[in-house]
Amino acid sequence: MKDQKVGVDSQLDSIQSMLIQGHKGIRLERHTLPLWGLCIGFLTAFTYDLSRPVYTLGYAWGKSFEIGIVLFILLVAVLLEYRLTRKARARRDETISIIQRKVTVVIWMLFAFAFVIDLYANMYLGGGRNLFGVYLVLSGIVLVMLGLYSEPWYRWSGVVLVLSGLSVMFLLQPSNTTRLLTASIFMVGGIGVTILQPLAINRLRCMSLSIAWLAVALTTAVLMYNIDYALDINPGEQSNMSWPEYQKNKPEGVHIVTLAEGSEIPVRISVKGDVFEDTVNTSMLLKTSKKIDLEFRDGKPTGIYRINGGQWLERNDGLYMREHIHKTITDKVQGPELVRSIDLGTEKRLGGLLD
Amino acid sequence: MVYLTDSKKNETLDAILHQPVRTRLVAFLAGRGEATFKELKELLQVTDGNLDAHIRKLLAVKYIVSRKELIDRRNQTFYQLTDVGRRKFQEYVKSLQHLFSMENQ
Repeated sequence: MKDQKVGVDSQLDSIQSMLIQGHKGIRLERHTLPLWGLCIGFLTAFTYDLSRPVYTLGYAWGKSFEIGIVLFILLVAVLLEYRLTRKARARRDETISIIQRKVTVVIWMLFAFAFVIDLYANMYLGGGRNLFGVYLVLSGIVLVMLGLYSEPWYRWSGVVLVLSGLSVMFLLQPSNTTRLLTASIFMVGGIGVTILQPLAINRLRCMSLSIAWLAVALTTAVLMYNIDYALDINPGEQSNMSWPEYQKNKPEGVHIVTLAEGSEIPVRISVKGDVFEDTVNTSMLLKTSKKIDLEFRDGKPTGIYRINGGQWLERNDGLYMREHIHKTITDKVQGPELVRSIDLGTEKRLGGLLD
Repeated sequence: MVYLTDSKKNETLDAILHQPVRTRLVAFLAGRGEATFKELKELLQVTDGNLDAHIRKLLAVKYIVSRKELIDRRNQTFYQLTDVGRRKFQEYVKSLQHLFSMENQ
């Protein structure tokens, strides 16, 4: 009976050990993180630039083209990943575990959900800039999840990605800066995590190596920003003239027009909505409190500007509009009155990170 | 079938599964889903002939099935548990647990 008991014990132990072995098997191939890092980094950095010309045909055209690019590149990446993984596994005569298949399905569900929210948010709610951070946080969670079934190094890198994503969201950098920072973290992270993996043999190494690849990502972001700035936002030495002078002559070509401090700019306000019978149009004069230089091409503003002779910026880079107060006043004589206060200005570029 | 008896109850253990290598092989497949011959050999630390013999026994009673796939002009064989194999394995584990609890009473 004693022998039988030992047999039962050892059988139960070996069953438990084999079940654990079977469930452990998530293995990331060497191509996986670089492939996805480069793919998502490329999409983050260039999708808008690639689809910008199509947006001139209309918003729906531009958005459809943008979605088309994203889906096409993702499809190519999926096929590449599938083929390379199958090849690598066949070469080593290995299979893909059930847990890896299931986790992969969960990852795709997470990203599909994020993509749908991304589309919805951009189309109807705005605030697309925050989604860069959301994608970083999601990718971090995915790496942590993969790390739970494979190696602690991935968990560390996942945590770094989550923290980067949260920082990107809360630092409130301009859209262009956030875009390039996110792209850089994805690209450098994808390659760096794979290259540094053999060195990450203990907790201290994991920590220092995570900081190292993040530092490289930030440096790359600065370089990308400067290249992007040099290519896109660099009016160079153009003839500089005042607004009245420009209005009077209306010259062809590219010119820098200066609005001196105290210039009056007429702003037309149009309020529409289902609660009003007619569109309300009203005009008011806003006075500039700083000197503003604007780039004009053939009589039209290009969207490139600078404040007080500072750095040249793009229209969607560094301008913000924030609603501060929203309340309803009920006056006995005049009746209900809606009050809204809007702040329109140049954003503080926190820490001058990419300047 | 192997019959193990004690004073309280007769307990039946599946003779195919009640063998250390086959138990471990089936338990691994239950957790992993499927595995190649090479993976099983490395995990169980047995010779090709030994593993082949165990696999034949499991295939004969349809506890596992094999499928072949051509990857890069090379035939690869995968083994996975069948529904019968999974059910028999669950019954086997229950029987072991039952025996274990009886031994500890």
